[in-house]
Amino acid sequence: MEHRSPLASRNILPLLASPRTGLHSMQITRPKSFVMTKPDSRPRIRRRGILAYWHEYLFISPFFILFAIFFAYPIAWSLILSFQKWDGVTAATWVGLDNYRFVLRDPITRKVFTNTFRYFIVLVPLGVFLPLVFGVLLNLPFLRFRGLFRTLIFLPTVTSLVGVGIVWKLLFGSANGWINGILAKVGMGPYNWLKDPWLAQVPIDSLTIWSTLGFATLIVLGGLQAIDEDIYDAARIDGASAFNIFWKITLPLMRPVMVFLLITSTIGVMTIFSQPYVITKGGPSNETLSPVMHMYNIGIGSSGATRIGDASALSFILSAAMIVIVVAQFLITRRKEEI
Amino acid sequence: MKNQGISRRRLVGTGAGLTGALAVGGRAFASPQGGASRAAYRDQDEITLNVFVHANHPFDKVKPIYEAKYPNVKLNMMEQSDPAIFRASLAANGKGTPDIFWPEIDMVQELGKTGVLLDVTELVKKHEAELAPGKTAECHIASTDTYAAFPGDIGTVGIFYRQDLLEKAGVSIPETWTWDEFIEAGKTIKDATGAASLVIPTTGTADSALLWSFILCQIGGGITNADGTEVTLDDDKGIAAMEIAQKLYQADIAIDEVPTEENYFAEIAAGNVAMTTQAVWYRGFGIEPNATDEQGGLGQWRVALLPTAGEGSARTANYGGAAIASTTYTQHPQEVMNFMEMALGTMEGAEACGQWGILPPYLPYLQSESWSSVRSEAFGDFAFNEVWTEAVNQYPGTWHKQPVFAEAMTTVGANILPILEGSTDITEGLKAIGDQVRELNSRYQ
Repeated sequence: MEHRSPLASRNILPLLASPRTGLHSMQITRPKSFVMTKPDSRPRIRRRGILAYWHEYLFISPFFILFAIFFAYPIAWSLILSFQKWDGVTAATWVGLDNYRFVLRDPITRKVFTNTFRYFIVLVPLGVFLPLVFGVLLNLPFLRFRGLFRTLIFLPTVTSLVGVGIVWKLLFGSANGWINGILAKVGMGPYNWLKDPWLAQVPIDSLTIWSTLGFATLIVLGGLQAIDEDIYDAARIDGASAFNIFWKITLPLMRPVMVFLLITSTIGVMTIFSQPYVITKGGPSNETLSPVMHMYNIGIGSSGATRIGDASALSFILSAAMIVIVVAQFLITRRKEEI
Repeated sequence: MKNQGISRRRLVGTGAGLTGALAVGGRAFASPQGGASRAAYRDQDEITLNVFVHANHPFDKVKPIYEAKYPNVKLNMMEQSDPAIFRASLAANGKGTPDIFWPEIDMVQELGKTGVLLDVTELVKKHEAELAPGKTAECHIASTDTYAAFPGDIGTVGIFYRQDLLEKAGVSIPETWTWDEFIEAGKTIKDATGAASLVIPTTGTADSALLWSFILCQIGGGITNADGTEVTLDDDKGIAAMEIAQKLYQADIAIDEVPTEENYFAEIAAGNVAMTTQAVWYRGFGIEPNATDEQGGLGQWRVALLPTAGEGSARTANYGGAAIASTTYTQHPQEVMNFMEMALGTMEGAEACGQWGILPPYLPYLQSESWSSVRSEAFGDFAFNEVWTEAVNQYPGTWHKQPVFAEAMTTVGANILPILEGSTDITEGLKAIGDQVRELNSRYQ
């Protein structure tokens, strides 16, 4: 005998049937008059398969075709190449894990990952903190010329990194560079910005921050504006100070945005290329060489190196490292959220 | 049930239609000149050779001479100097590979070993007596005993110097001198004028290793042996070259800039450079554009051979210098070789290239009035090409640029500064570099 649920018409059937409610074992059958089109049509979809919806698939196919050609295929081919020795001309030969062994033993690989860590400890905290500061400032209700400031801060995002890199090189280059010129006026320097292992980080770090700040600030602004104003009003009525409002309302509610910035900054730092390539070419003595730049140099770079297998292996080592770090960040920040 | 198959009549009709269309289309495609017969068209068949060059290239000057001699061949000059693009075309089984290109010698050696480059042994041997032996040796593939490219630009190295600044310091360049004497001269010049006599960038890149490589080349050493199977940069000659390079670095007579970049050009223009060790092509690249007034040394620049680096050392070295090559994918090997021969194996071609600014390997031209009479405003009435002819005579045939060459120079550059500064022992430091390069070289075997 069928049991008819009066709740079926209120769309709470899935809730009743969930394991948490303990009602999942109950036999619930909809009356014929309550039957909705979608659930009943499912068997028909399965029967007719993809062909029944060919025009929908046709509309979404460009993405999948382009993804397959320009992403999936190159990644798969690169994975195969990472197990082969190939110079781009002669036939590739299978070498198993030899490329991975060589790359992991290579002192330059250790160097580029050390450099990445150095970029990481400077750029990731700044990549999260500075957008928050600028986002909050640009969101102040009494700020005048807000549109102008927002445009100015976003402008670097739409400029060519290579072009600006050349300008940066002139700014920091040699004793006659602009920065040294300014410092000389206050009795400082000149500093060897591009040739000192530690100072060479400054132009690269500053260009990276300059070029990424606009987009990150835009994300923060979006997050700030999504916070319900009623929450702030309630806090003010309760007598919360501005600092407390920021610390106890804004920051916790902005955590998803901060996590997003943390992860994108980490990925950005680990794949940094244009800045060291244009400003220092990886020097002095490989102190600013990044993994992607090293990959380019040994694979297809203009230096003439053709270790395509080694470069592919390095790319997968980098990807693995990136996945581990990003997943770790994600888990740590999620745990904090739950606490 | 309705028959869905194609009827026999329709099949025959479709087949006939397709055949007719193919015949008409094929004829139209094969005879672009309309009514002209195929035989008549073949007589005047036009061939196009695709040439990969960088912007403003010596071949631009050879093009009109070649096309005048071979009217049925057109040269399509394609501005493309990125080796990655060229390699991509090779990886695509020759689709888009140019008929003629202008590779550096390490690329000639690398590709020559694979057999993908057009074998030009016969052509080179035909002209061997007329070509600079050192440059010809660079195009020789030891493992196959063939020539994979026709000798091109010779990258001889000498000293560009400012006559006025040297006179002011009371220094003159003798017929023969040593690097030690060069150091003394450099110090005197610096005291008297403040100008530098060397350029050693502390960028820790391949540029930092250039001076050492010049001296190594002078004394007959090399990064590797002739076929690239052994790394030799840390042998006795490598150590001897490093000892001289260290003395030069510690003499404090150098400017710390990259010689091919704007900052160094600015130093030349500002009159802060009295001497600089550079390749022949630096005249047009770094001197002439910056010696535009009295301060930059307009009319005062001169050229001399390098100081000797010990008994039997050459007075010149190598920096750059490409060759002409083609691949086995070319459909027109004879026309390609005709071009190679004309561009750098004849008086008119070599003259065209020489006027552009490179140092061609064609010896009759290098001994001609046409070559020695070249003058430049920056050099006044000075016959600089006579010095370069002498450099060609001394050009060593022992400087082997094998596939690992570029990575080896980068490795030396990254590790050379502690050695030059004296904080790392020369022998130990070079041995460590040599071991790194050996590891890299194993990837190219």
